[in-house]
Amino acid sequence: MNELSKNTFSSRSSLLLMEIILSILFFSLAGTVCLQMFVKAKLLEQDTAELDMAVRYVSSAAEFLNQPERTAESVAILYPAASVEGNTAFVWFKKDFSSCSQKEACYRLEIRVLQEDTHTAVWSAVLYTESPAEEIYRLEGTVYQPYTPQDRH
Amino acid sequence: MRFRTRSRHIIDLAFPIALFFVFAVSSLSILILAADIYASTASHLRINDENRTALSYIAEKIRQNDTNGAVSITSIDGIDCLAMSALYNEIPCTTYIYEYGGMMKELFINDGIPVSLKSGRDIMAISSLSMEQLEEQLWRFTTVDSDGNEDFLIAAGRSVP
Repeated sequence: MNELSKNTFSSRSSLLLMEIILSILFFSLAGTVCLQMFVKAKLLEQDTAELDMAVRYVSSAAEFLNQPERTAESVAILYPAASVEGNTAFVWFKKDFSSCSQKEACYRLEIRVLQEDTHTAVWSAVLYTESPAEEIYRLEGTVYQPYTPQDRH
Repeated sequence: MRFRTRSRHIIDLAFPIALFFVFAVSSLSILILAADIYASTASHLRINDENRTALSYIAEKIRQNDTNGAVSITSIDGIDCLAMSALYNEIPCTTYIYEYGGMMKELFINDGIPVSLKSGRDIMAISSLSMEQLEEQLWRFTTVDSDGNEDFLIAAGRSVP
């Protein structure tokens, strides 16, 4: 009888232990899946916010560059802190997209205007992350300056 | 019978309670994490909803009315207004877009009639809308939503006066 009770209790104990182990295992698995989803959601949200800002800044530059007679130097109208090298203007931004120097920059807006001929210019506006340098968003276009009667002479 | 009658050890009580607390803390952590991510996403959605909607509305209005240099920025009663002139049935009219009393408003009125800013039609709630003419036919609009988030739009006119 004693042996029977001992066995019964022992089997109940191991059953309870097994149940607890399974519960912990299930909870751990569920927690891991949830955490992975949350991390992915957070990363996706950060990427979306970054892309959203990139679209905003690049679209603004595109709106500006679509006007005839724009050059890399004229980018200073939009961003007085822009640095111009040849036909390319660079604007650097902090994490919160406020203008800053190259040293403390997280993002770089690169605006290039190439004059193909007297009436045609090809431009591109690209926003990169600074390190590592990865392209976030790019817009390109061609702008034509209309011919005027003076151009015939 | 020895197992049935043995005295209960403190661990018999402490272990389930400890396990319960571990579960509770873990669940709470995951819940807080989820709530934080949800709040952050909702906040970005709200920024898009208020600022971007207002700026998109302005951009579309400018494109719609960009003829003969009809778009300009004017100040009425100290408030900057985006003014878009047009002829309707040969009658000169102007559409004004501005911020007044926490609302973005639009007022369509015949030229020559005194402008009353409070009479404009409400478009949407907005904390602030500022306008700046960067160059001829180049404007910068800045909006601030109810949470203090700022957004901007650069708009350029294509038409020639």
